[in-house]
Amino acid sequence: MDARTPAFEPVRHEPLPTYHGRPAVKPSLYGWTVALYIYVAGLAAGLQIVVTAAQLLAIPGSEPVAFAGRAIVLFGAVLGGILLIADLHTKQRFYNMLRIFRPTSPMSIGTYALMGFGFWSLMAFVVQAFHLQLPALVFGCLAAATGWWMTTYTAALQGSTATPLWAGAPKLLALRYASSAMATGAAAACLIALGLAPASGLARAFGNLAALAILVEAAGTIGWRMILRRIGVYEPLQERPWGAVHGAGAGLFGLAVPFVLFILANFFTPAWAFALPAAICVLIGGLLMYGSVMLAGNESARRPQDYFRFAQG
Amino acid sequence: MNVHPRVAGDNRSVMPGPIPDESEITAGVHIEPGRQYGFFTDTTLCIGCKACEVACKEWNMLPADNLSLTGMSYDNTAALSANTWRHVAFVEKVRPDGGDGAMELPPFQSHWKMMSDVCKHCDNAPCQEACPTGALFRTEFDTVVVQQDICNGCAYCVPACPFGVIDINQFDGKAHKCTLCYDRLKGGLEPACAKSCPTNSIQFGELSELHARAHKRVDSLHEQGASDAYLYGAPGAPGATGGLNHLHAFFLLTDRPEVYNLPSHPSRGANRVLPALITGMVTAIALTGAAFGFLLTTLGA
Repeated sequence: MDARTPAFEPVRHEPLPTYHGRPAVKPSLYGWTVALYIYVAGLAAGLQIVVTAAQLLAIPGSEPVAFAGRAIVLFGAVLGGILLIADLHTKQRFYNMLRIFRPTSPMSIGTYALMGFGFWSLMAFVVQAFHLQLPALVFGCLAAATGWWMTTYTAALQGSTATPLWAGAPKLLALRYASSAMATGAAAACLIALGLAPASGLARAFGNLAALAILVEAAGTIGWRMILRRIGVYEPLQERPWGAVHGAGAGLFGLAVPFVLFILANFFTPAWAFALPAAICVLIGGLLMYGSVMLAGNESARRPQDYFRFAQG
Repeated sequence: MNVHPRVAGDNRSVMPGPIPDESEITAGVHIEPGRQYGFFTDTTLCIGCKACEVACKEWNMLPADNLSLTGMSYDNTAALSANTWRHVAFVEKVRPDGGDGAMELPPFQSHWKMMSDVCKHCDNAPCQEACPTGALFRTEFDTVVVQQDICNGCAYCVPACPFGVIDINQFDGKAHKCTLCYDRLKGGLEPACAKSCPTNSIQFGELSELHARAHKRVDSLHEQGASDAYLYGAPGAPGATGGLNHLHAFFLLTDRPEVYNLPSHPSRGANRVLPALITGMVTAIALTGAAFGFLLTTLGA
């Protein structure tokens, strides 16, 4: 090694020096507003995808479920836009988001994903209101395709920051977010089907999909946790308050309990007695997951040791 | 004393107006668009006078951030922020055994390490790459500046910066950081901090020239026995890592980067976008396929 260009070997288990313990990067200014947006965006996208799939297969009872689902999707897309604008520090210039498209910026990618998703979802809802089946399917498919972006770009947005907890394992964060979006979307669709087409078998199909998505999310969460622990940036999710919200709230209440209930719904009657609480658990757990990852991420950025451990190559 | 030929024999103490191409006289560099400019901050020369902080605040009309004592060393500025674009770090090297008090002084230096921190104007600037409005742009001097009339305060640049530089001003709702005195460069003036630095710890110039000067300085320090001197942020050096090609504001350091609150291996966030997007999309698409599978079983039933 040339002493003039030293290579600093990664330090994993010993404390690194810090500058008076001061943060080395700035935490994001995002809180529950943006966490709620990520949740709503994922839920709306997942819901659009699953109701469109049901409509494509012409499952009996799928029409009213798809229509009610799309009403919620549309509400979610509008609420998402409102939440994002509300979080801007110069709200009156929100339209500057549309000046350029920047592929290196997930925020820019997301702006167009939300615009496209909102537009196609609106079209699908409107034409379905006029009972135009084929156009509703076409617009629904377009909305679902932009929905795939919606389920995942938010993870790329957080993963490409310098916040250790978010950037430590961006691929598995994206897997978590995408599967959580599908789980919450399927759970919402399950609730709608329970109400509007209880005899169709749709609720069971959506419930089983939610169970599979939960399984994928749980596997992703375990892998994500392992990587972050190895880097040494997981502590904010082991400590109060976000450790409890993430572990007991999002993990136990949002994944483990509903998974068991959705499986039991296949074997015991009445199925709704299991599927209904399961879906509610998934919907609450998803929000707790996004919120705890968001706020624990901000805490991780305030810890110079965490950032220095992350930024060691 | 070296006097620039342009001012030799000129005894005026008050100038009638701005001096054209003043930077030629004060920094020995002619400023013109299309070339790369930056700062070389030699921390071995910093005496912690904070003239750079004051000059920056005066020229850019930035208010004070913190009017109280931080309780940490002589540093009451604490950090770079929306209103503080130069920050002098004060690192007191205490006894390595953890005991109180300073180390035994080497004969040639004090036990202080001081370093004037600033926006690095990274090549592949993560803040600029994150900015969805185009408010953050690369100037004709290859520096990175926020256009205040475009910024809508989305604040994504704040966590995107791997050095914790850029911040939102809560009063005007816009992102702010060092402009490398964009307005002064346009007028042929050396940036205020570099001009005010009494020890030439902060040197402004064309990047290639600064790199050559900095390497010479490191060689010279090594010859004098200061074998811990190295560059941070020059091409191929620590700091120019993980997709960051080089930093337009680079440093000569004599301790691990973390001592100065710098990461040893900062990285470009944009490199993490595609892997995340692909993984998430594959997951969502696969689960969509599973949705079809579960729904088909309904038809079968």
